[in-house]
Amino acid sequence: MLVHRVQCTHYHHQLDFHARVVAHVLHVSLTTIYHCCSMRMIHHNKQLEVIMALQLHPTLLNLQMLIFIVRFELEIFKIHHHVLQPLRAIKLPVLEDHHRILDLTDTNVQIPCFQFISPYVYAASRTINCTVSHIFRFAFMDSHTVESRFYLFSVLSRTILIISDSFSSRIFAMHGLKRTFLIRTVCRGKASTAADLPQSSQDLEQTNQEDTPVKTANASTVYRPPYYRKPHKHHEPKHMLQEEFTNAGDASGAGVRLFDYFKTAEMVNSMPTIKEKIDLVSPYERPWTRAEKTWRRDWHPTLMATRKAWGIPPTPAHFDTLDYYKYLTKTRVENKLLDDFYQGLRPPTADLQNSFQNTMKSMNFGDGLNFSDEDTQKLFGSLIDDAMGGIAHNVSRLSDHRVAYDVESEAFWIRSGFMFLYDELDISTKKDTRRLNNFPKYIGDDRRKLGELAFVHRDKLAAQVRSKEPSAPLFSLDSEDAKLPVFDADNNIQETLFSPKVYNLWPDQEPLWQCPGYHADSGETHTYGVLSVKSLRPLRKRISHWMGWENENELDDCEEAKQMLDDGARSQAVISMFSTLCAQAHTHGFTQYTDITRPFTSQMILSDGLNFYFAVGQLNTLAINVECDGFVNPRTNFIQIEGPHRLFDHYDPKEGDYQSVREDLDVENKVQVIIFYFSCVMSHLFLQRRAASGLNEKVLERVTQMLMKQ
Amino acid sequence: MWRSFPSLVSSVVRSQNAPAIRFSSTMKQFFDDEANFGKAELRPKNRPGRSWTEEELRLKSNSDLHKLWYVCLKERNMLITMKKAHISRARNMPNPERIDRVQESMDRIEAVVHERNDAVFKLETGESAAPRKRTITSFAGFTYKKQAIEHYSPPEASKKEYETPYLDDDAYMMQKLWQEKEFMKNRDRLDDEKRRETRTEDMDRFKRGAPRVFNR
Amino acid sequence: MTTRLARLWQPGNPQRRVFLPDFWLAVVESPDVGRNKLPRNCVKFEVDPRMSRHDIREYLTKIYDLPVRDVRTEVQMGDITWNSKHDHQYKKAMWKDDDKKFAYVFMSKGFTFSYPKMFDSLEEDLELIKAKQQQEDLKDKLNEGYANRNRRVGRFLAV
Repeated sequence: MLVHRVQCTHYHHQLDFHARVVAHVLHVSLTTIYHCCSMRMIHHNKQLEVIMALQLHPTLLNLQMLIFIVRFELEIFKIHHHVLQPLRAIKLPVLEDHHRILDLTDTNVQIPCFQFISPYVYAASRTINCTVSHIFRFAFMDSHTVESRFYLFSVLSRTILIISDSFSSRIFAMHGLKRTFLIRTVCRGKASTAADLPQSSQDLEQTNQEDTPVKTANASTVYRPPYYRKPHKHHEPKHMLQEEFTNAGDASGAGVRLFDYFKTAEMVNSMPTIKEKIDLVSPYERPWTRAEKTWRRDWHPTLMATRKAWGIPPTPAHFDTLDYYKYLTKTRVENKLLDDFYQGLRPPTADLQNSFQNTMKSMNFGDGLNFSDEDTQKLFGSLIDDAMGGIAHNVSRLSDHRVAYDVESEAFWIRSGFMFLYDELDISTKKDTRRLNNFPKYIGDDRRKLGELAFVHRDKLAAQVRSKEPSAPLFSLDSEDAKLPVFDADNNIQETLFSPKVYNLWPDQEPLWQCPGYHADSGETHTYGVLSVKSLRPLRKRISHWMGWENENELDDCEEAKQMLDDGARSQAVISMFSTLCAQAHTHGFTQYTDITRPFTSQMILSDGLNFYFAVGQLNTLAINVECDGFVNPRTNFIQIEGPHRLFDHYDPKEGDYQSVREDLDVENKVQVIIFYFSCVMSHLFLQRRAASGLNEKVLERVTQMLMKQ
Repeated sequence: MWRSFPSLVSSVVRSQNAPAIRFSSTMKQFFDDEANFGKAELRPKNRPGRSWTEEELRLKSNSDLHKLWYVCLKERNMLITMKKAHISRARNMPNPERIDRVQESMDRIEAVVHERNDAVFKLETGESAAPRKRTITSFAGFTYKKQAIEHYSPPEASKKEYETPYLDDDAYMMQKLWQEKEFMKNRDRLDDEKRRETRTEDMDRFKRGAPRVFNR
Repeated sequence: MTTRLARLWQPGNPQRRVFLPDFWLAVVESPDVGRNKLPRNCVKFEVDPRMSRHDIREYLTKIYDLPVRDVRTEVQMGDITWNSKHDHQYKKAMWKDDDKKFAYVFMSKGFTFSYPKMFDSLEEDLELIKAKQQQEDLKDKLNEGYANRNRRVGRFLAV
């Protein structure tokens, strides 16, 4: 629908304006209108002439028919509450008709066809999302007689309705008309509120009793905004002509964002295969090919930088990442023992003790301080094997599980809430302003500068156990536990939210995958991850670098280093857990736009060879990529981390035996029992249930419990 | 302030576990006295004195010079911080001559230390402590002294810069002519070899008096 | 002296020590808002471009006794003044400022540092206020309210 901006200088300015308006309304070009009407210049009632001339045009005959249909429908039209609010605030312009002041509040005054007009007014204002005051203002400008104004007004409002209803997909086709309505025009006299009108008082009472509409949005309440609407707050107007009187959706830019979200959800749902769904939501943009680069000429616009996701490293590269990772994945962390979770599971650990100690000896584990990362990964692989071997005869379903080693577990997601990256301190006024215009987009953000950064985590798991059936959830999606907030109320989020570079994250140019150990199109049957094992060996090296040491010998003695290790292990648990579960949810067809309908659970073991952390996590929501008014998602993900448990406390290098300190809870006065492990031959003679253990029983028990848990 | 013995042993001695309370005072070392913030010129009592002279520094022991060096270094860091802060706000730092005086003091400390070091080296090894210098002829024909750099491996062919000695007319001409002669000799030698290669039996047999056949 | 002399180190040599380091370090402001905002345990320094991360760490740990945990460096190229900057094919660089090296030094977790506000109460502004105040006081003393300083002096009414 285009309106030709005809340069008709010899036509009167106002005629041009009205003709343009009518052209907008009727979806015809301005030239058509000029051809239709007579070109004689008459000072008064020229607008009437235009419209009357048009009404005789053959294309408009069907409009007359529609008017009658619409009129009856409007009788039961409900007036929405928010339309009335601005209405009460303004007063209708007083009409000067032959020097007579017409007061519309006076019910005795005969107002021809006003009763007919008012429902149209409200309906029209609602359709084109502007306040009724504008319609009135538009209607009453430059009209001399009451009748002419009302007539013009009624015609226009009717045509608005007709157009909007006939194109019932609610496509807002009247951009130009809305703009003309919203331009401030000279308003003569003061106005009285339409609330004083007798006609519509009943309707008003009804709407007052209605509840105010809930602010949340869903697919049915969100409809397409005009193409030019930006997903941000409109800039501060410098003068009158720049003022905009936007509706609730456009005021904050939330309307467009929500529309995009639900439209993308629609598109995702229409995709036939899961791989296509993942490719649709992936924020990866491939680099420009050589041909594309050479095709570009100097006068062509520069090729836009491709969107890169922020790569979260396999072990944290900064020493204070826990809160940040919690924010990135919207995960609530609980540091409690997992005894309640594994209640009732009492696996035998004697076999595992022996076999694992043998494995450690064969790999020359020693005291574990100089063990390489590769070897640690292999060790964990064999730990899982040994543990499974130990209980395989009891637990039959383990035979059905799939064990993978050196697994690549990758996931990408988009996290919102980074609009602060566009803030700037104005030098002169010292005010904090958000600069979106003429400012570079931040790496990883959407082209429209939405503050939604893409993150990717390419994890290297030592081992992964997968099964065909999902694990039992910890709590349901609707429960209160799923809606507890990530941070406490007194936590200041400003102290954790910084640009990703502060946490030593770097942009990743490689293609993005959702790969929880397998790809979506691989036809994998064992799609649910039961247990993942991760090696945190590189973290120790990093910590010794941060503390300024040359080797890791002092790590276990220094409090600050232990705190760093704990922090790093927990943040890694959070992010690894989220990435596996997010990838799993994606391979099951859910995306960030089509949120999950059932929770995903998984277990995890993280260790650097000496300290063991056990984690159980649940994914409750994927929809963390949008943050705006009207988008409500109180659900948070959850993880419970237990640790650190030492694998052993002392190592005797001469005899190659391990010693661990164990607190015996059965003893009444809780005496610490130090258990020594002698050579294999001797142990058979002095074998007792408690005394036999060399490595920490708790660790081995927990590992086995995790495998057994259904 | 300038002439007093500094008692900053703590800064020289490294302590691993510094308490958290001292951090603000540690960072204050980078900034001037708070009374001097925003001043156009320092009050007379706060003004620094002159720089150390070489004569004064020669009187000091090595440890004292070592300590003084670090005092000057920290002072210089503080002054540079203040200077940059003023530049970023388009203002003038009060008493900017402080930086120059600190720099002079540091240069003189270095000179005195170098004197002592040089004396020891010359006594013990016979060579100076100053970095070795080599004369090099530039592409334009000028000779200049350049500091010798250490390398792990010997230089590649024709990569090392040398000094070409200045020659008078005869010697210069002699070099040129000799090189020309050597060049022509080499050229002729290569030429002969080539001709010998391309020589055929027939050519030997019919070397004299034979009809010359040209390849058309 | 020793920072300007690049002596090689070979295995077997003793630890290379610099007794009189020539490097300079300056603390630099970083913004409170936006993408360049830094956490409170991070200090931004501008350092001598010849320094490496290891150098910066050793410098701060040994000379200033700061609990340095992580050092990240960034080199910012100096501005170039072109003779005609829009002529991409034939433009010539007339002048280039020196490159600057910045170091983001992360201290241990409890450390807090905020750049001091140095220019809030400027001496020149205060002096200006004082001078104005003095002028105001002087007005009362010198009868300024009643005297007409702009009167025509030296003219006799008779003439």
